[in-house]
Amino acid sequence: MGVNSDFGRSTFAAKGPVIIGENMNRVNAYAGKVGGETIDGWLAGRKWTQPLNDEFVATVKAQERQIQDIGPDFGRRLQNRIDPSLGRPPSSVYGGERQSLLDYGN
Amino acid sequence: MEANVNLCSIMETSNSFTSERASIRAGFPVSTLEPEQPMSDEPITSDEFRSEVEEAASILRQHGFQHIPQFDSESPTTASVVYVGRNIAFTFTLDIRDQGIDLVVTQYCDGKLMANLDGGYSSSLFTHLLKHCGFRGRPIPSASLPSTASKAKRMLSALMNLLAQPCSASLLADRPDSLSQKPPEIR
Repeated sequence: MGVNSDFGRSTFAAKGPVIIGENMNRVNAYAGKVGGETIDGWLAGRKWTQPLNDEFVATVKAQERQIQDIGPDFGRRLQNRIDPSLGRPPSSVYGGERQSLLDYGN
Repeated sequence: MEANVNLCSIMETSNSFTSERASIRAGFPVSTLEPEQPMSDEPITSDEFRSEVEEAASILRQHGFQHIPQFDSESPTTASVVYVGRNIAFTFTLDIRDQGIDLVVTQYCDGKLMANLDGGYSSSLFTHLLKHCGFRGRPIPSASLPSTASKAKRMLSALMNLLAQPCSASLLADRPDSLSQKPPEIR
């Protein structure tokens, strides 16, 4: 974990706001339009895992980066309410990010 | 020992006969019964996602839509596969973090995908059909899917069944005005 911590930081540190939200397709599309960064940039090619996601949030907080939260994907949740075979229920990953950032001012 | 083997084979035959009788009583031919196993819910990788989409998207190819790999994207948290026609593109998306699969319909113009943020139009297929085409049903996976089919396969099958609905005909027709359909009036 410690070795991985510096991976991607050099390219991650100097850019625009960090974009988070539910459904990474939305998050990446929005970040592309506003010049923001997402966990994808920080991962720098590494395979996504929940521990790395937690580390990403910790890094963002430690660097006091500005965060823009584009919120839940209500369309996806609605699909799932109508038919559980489609869409997704509220994301536990995004929920964890929100929880970790409750006391974060930026 | 030999007697035991014979006894076992008799019991197997007997069990098989019993289950055959049960299936006949239930109205199902024996050959179509699937073993009772839980649906696979293993996380899908982007490579598996691409392979599943290739298999599922035959209805799009039948209507002249083509997979254009140059529009596909891949990142540590997402993957997408894009089929384009003359005026409309269909993008299969995978959110790796939440294992969410969706099908997004997007305006396609002059060789470019024109999403909402680009001044065009894009929407989840399901939402588009609800808002603009009067769809009030539910997406249902194909009845031919075995009960053991993966969640990804079932999601893709349900999405493809949405395309087979009459209200999707205008999208598959791929006309310039296919995306500007007004919602039906409620009387």
